[in-house]
Amino acid sequence: MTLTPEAPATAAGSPVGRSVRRKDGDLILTGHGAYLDDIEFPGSVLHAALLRSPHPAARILRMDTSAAQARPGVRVVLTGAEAAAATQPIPHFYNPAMVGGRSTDFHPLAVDTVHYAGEPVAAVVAESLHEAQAALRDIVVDYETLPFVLDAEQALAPEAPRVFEGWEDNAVARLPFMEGDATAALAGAPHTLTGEISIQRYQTTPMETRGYVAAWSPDGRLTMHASTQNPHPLRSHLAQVFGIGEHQVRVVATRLGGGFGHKFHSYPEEALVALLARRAGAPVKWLESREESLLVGAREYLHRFEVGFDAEGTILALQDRILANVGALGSSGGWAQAFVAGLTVPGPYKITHYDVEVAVVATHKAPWNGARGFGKESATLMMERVVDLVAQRLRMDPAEVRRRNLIPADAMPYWTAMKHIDSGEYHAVLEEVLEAADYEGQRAEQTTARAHGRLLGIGIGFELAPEGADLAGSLVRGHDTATVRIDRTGGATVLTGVTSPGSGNETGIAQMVAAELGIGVDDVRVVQGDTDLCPYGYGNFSSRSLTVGGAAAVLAARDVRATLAQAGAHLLKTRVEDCSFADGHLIDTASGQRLPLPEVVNAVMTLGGVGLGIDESQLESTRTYSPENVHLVPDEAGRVSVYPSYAYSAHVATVEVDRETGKVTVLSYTGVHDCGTVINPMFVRGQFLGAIAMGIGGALWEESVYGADGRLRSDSLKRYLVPRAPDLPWIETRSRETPSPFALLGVKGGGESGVSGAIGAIANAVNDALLPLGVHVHEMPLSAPRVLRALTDQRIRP
Amino acid sequence: MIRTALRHHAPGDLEEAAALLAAHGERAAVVGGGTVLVPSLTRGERDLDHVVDLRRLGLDELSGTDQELRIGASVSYADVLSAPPFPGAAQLLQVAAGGITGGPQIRNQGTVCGSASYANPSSDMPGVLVALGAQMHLHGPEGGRTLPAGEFFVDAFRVAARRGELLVAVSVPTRPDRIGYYKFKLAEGSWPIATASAVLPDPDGSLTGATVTLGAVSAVPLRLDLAPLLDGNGDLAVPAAEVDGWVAAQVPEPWDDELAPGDYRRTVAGVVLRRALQRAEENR
Amino acid sequence: MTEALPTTTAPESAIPTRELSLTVNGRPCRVVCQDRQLLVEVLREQLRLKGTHIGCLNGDCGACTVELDGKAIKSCLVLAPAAEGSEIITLEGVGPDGGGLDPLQQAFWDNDGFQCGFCVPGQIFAARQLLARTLEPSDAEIREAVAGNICRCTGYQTIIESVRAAAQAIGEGTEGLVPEVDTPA
Ligand code: FES
Ligand code: FES
Repeated sequence: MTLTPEAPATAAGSPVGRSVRRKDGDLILTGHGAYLDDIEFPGSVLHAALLRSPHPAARILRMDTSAAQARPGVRVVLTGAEAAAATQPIPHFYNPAMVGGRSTDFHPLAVDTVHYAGEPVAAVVAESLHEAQAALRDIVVDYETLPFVLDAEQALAPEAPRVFEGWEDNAVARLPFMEGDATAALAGAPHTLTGEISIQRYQTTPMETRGYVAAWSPDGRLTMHASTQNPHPLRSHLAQVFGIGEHQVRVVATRLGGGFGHKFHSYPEEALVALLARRAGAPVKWLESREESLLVGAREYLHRFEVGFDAEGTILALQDRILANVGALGSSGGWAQAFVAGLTVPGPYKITHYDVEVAVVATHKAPWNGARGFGKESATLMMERVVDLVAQRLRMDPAEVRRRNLIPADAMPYWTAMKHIDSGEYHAVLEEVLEAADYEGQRAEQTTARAHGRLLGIGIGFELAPEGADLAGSLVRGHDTATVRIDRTGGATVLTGVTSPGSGNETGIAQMVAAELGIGVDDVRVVQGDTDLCPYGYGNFSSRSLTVGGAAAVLAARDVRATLAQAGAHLLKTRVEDCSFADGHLIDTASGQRLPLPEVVNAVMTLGGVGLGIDESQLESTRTYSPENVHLVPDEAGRVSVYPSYAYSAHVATVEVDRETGKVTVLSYTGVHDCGTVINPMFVRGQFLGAIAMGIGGALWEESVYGADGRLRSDSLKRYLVPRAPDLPWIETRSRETPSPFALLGVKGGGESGVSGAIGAIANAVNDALLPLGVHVHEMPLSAPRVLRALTDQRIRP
Repeated sequence: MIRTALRHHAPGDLEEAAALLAAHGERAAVVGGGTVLVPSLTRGERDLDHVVDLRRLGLDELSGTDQELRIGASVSYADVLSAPPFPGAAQLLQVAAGGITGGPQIRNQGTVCGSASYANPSSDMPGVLVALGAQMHLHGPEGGRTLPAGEFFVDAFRVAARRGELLVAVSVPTRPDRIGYYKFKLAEGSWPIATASAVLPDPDGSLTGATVTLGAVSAVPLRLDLAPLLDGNGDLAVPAAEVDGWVAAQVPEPWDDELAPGDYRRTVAGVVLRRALQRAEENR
Repeated sequence: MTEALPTTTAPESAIPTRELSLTVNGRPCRVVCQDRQLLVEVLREQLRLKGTHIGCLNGDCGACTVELDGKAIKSCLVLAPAAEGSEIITLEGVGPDGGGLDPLQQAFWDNDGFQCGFCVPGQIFAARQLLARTLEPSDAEIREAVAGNICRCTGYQTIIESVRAAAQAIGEGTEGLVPEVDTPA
């Protein structure tokens, strides 16, 4: 455990750096977790169901809702035109116009044009869900179907049908990320190679789907319980949509059964459910079905790259043209992942001439929302394949090419376009993963296996994970706020603006506050997600919860501690500097005298201002923490950086390809990561393991397949294959702690690390397995049919 | 959430069950383990007014004579697995039951007869039953009748049951054939892409008389007699590539779904066939 | 559009309904349900046992797993009337009678066997079934045992560690998988 100079004097017994069990574990294990759908609301709650368009592009000519309205139990039937008339357009999570892109307005239901199959066109509220769903079938919609386009490349063709009326073409934005002079450097490079790699449309599939319960009270206040990652921004948006004061809206983010970006706010159903509740005059609940949940996209990219390098394997220049198929845009901010995909290039490598352009393209597929990885997985996949291709061309070991190109530790902090990388020991982590995986030994085994005709492959993946995004001008901000209170029983309450997607950050925050106050983790209660209770915060995204939420709580706890120390010094007749906090006591380190914390708190409450040497009896503090390493104002070189913290990890995967079927089996997996100072090693490992599993799933199986009719075919978990326990190997992990010099406790974001590295490592391993056959597969996921096709193509080659 | 006004029946005898099914025709169906029918109702893919539950019909027999083993309609995969080892060829059923997708819960709930009645091309049981030459025992308003499995599976998701008929049991032979089962799937959660059930009757260990039944590669299971591939001694006379080519030619209309295209299934059909044979050989 | 039309007719009068007798978590109970209701709906709505979750309603995820007559099953695949007369244990009923956690639950907590916790019902009941068969499961057996459940948080590895730890604790300890119920003095 690395301690920063600012760490409290109580560090010896500190819960920070310990594998504390998660809070509420006993509740969850006994079935009392209380996720959204488990909460009992007073009075009867009505149920909403949504009619969704079967067509990817269509004009709604006529809608007849009379039969649905006449059904028993039905209370409200709402059309798109009615919904749009009653609300303001839904604000964007992150508007493409902010980066010079095209934008459009979105409403709770499609108004007269449908932009994707699955877009909601009407809603029913009934006394039971059975009745609401049955009534959907009685709504008659006359559609005039329109031509549609599903492929990004085709969508850019001049004659392509437009997704949004009035757009000159289907490009949402074209985003450049560049440094140096890539064209000249490529022209001058001793070697160049070009290639293409695509990453499929897939998503995160949290086990609890989204849901909202809205209720209006007689005084015009809206309360929404939501399975969301951003309660406060959701409140802001709801107020805007309904034109009411923000203080008239309360959002309560319930315990999440997974978030992963899928539950970022700005979905049309949020405002819709609130509107339905208003129309029904009663609370209304809507839960996303699994089928609806699987509609949400999160990636679909094509990279076309050219790389220049020298005979030693030093990469001199890189050009990457990225095509991102973001579907029908939507108000949700998923499209912004395409921005991050471009920004992340060239990852952990020191490449001084690069030129990246991301074309963000709208198509008639369902819109994206966030996904753990947030575009970084796409950049990593491309970068990691590029490094391996360079190695292959030069007949060098891929590990060696990485050694020659990783940013050296002594170059940190490191500026490159759009990124100011805080810290990192990339070479050390690379060596550590190679050693942990017995890379040399594995290579030797591979030689033997190959001699026997086995297709064994070893792949390295190195990932850079920029975290803690601060997108000024939007409600996706870097800073956050916490209140800490101490009570007369010596317990503390933390009210925080960050929320938990089920990762355990509440426990992490409790550990940090407990460490400051010298109390037990169980003595700290962390309240999250209720906008009536918590300070305004931006919720959960970009692995920010401990780096900013935890840091804000630490600052607030230090304020409280300072008051207690002053009072304690007075009571014990010692110096403030000698007061420390441990085991629920204030301790005079000079004399060894101890005072139970409740006594100190009580003294402040009852005697503050009239003795004790303190003027204010303030036992709570609210503090905002802004990450330091964010540079939103361009420096003299024109550089900006929206991410304050840069976690990274290195991976080695070993796979075997079944030559006859193309099926890939992951035989072993090793990952080493560094997310700065670790608050709870068990949780950090848990995040890493879960992210690697997701990465492997995306590399090999998960895919949202569309039919030629423009409808999603992977609409159940039988058709969208997520990894199950027998699919995965044992994952060996290690961690390293390079504290961020710019973060309060040296903490970096740790929630996403692993997704991208795993994709890179698996893609490299599979391609390494195919190397003796002289083929590669650059189309993800590396499913058996795709891999076999590559093998078969090779077979028919002369 | 089931949208229709469904009525659940648990008749106490077969006559009542058959009468209910006959009376309601398309608006009624049998529910056994529920693993397929219930979610199809929940998803609104099927609309029914009546379901006929088998639970009170006493169809949980799992009994044998020296020639065959009879498996009642309520027998789950878990029942099959926890029974003592099946003799002879019937063992194929136990091997396949152990690999059913969906984990132990589905093995506790799903039934052999339910899977057969569903006749999903992408599943284990149809191929296994055809491979064994199972007898399918139906009961309907006109009483009972028995069909060979090869005639029972008519098309994808279609079986040769008449209005009012339900599958009450299957019987499988316990001949001392050697068997081998190979199932290929993309991932743990994937339904089979191709299965092969090899049945080798020659007591001397050759492939004379051997058949391999392919499942999941076409709308109905495909039982292949290996004779054209064998030499005079009953040994495989052609190299693997040729076997694969021959097998592919036997699959003119491969099954196609979102998990794997038809041409892929056709390509791997020969592979699973060879692997099932290999397993059977190892079962000596 | 319809503005909050209060309905006068009994809306669901035509829906076949029945009374079920069940024993849930050791307690006999009678519950009125519609024939079309799924067991998971009756457990959650009528019996208010919300520990049984819904992740797919398609038999794929395992979040709705309960024990029915001693077997782990997915309760979204069972029509409620089919459960007539059965004994059901839900996640709420797994621990010892007086409250607290049984060794398996304890092992999941201590070994970080879950994060968001949504998949816990499937993992616990699948593991119970495994440990009832063997207290020395291999990793492969544990993976196979939980194969009916999807977990998106853990990557399954800490689930495997939890089940291992539980097997060891139960094997070494005097405690059974389901702790003995204290008989009142
Ligand atoms: S809800 Fe029953 S298996 Fe998913
Ligand atoms: S703990 Fe979240 S799905 Fe398993």
